[in-house]
Amino acid sequence: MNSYIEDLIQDAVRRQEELAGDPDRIRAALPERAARKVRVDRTWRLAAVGAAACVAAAVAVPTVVLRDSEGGSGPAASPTASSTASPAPRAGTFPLRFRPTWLPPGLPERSRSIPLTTGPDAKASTVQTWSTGPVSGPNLSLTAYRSLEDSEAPLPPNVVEAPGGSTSPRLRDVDINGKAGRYDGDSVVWRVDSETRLLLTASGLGLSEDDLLRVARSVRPDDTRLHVPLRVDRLPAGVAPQFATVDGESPTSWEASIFAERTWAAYVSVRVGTVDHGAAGEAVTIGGRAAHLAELDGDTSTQGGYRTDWRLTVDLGDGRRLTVYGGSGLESSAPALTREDMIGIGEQVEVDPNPDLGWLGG
Amino acid sequence: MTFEEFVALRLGALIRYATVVTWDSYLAEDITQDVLVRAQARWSKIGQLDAPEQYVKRMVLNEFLSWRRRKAAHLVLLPKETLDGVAPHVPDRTDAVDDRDLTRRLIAGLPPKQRAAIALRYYEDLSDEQIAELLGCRTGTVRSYLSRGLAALRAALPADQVRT
Repeated sequence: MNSYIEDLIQDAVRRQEELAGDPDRIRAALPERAARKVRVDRTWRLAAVGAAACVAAAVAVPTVVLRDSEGGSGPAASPTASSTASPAPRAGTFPLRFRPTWLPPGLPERSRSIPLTTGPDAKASTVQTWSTGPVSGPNLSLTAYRSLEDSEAPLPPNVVEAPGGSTSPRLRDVDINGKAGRYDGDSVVWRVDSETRLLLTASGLGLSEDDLLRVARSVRPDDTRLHVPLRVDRLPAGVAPQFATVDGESPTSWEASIFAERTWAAYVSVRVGTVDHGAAGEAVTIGGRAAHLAELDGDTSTQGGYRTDWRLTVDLGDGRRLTVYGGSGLESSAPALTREDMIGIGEQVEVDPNPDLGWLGG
Repeated sequence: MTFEEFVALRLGALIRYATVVTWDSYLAEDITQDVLVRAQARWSKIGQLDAPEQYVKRMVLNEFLSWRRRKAAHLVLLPKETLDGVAPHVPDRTDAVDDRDLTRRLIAGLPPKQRAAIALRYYEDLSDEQIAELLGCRTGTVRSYLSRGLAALRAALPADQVRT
């Protein structure tokens, strides 16, 4: 039985927990903190960027084309080193691989995201999200991420492994269809094959343990594919596609995007959909359509970890808009992308006029 | 899972943990941001772990207990006389709300390792052995941290409230 003092302590730690800062604000401040660390690490980083620039110059401007991923376990993005490669324009479809067959009632699907990188260094995951409101609010998400069974763990003393297995009574072992999983209160993670783990997280939904585990145990391999209704043929040297996302409230309120970056140095975000990001700036013509190119001044809120230098907006008609953001590393003294880069990217974007969005909000 | 996905999913839990371990919401934010920036650089390894969150929590704890961090934070350990000044022994004091407020202030005055041990026991529900693993000390030392921490609280609270 707890003593009165122990009861007071438990009450105190719960009240202390309530004083925690707003995660959104802290997350927004991370790029600046990272930039500060980058400044500390200036010497080695500048050396690395210099080496990368030499390699990029040697292979000229790369062409990056999103191609169909036919079968297999992962998505495909095929970079080539030739700017003359010009495959037939077609939007890509990418496997989601796993789907829950049971969900709590009233949770429509709001977002699907797939990686555009492959290989052992692939970082991005396949993520599906269900929520009652905006996807940024309380939601349920299923993340499939690459995790090799024989991957090397970091060296001690940082590996936290308590005697007997589980690291905490809150983090306990569970069985997910015969696979060992770990449950920690609002998420469960388990390995489904030698290269893949699944993470199911209920954020702010108040989902019971029984329901969360029921969703996890209902997950099955699935051949559903995400149709990404846009394609970007050419990106500036070294800028490589990372992931594509389609999200929204319904087939009439949506946005599809492709994010590409040269880590820490430059990024490009191409967005197509019904979302209006604003139209201002120099009047230009993109693919015969009236467009606007705005040069932004020190915008660090559009893309975490980067300073956004450019915004290109094109009205595609029928309530659809194309927006291309381009930016630099926070330390860059000059924009990584030029005006011509932005216009060139905009002219290369191909948009599927009949996107498959029936799953949104369903 | 990418670093960005980890942050999106687990930052809330991580910042709450740091707030309890440090007992200082501002220091918690500072430490959490520093730790996340360093974790991002090593995410190719950390992201492969069964429980990346536990790893990052360990980083938060290490950062809090590090000499550099303690010096930077200018933690001031309150002497017994100061605690008495904050919490005079008033035998007939029975207001539980006051006790709760007092307890929070008293915990804030404990040495960092005692405070961390209390956080790990009463917030993370860890055993003596698990706390010893995290703090890098013997189990007996953990028991000593906890008993000394509780003794300090017991000494500062009204005698008639210190019951089992």
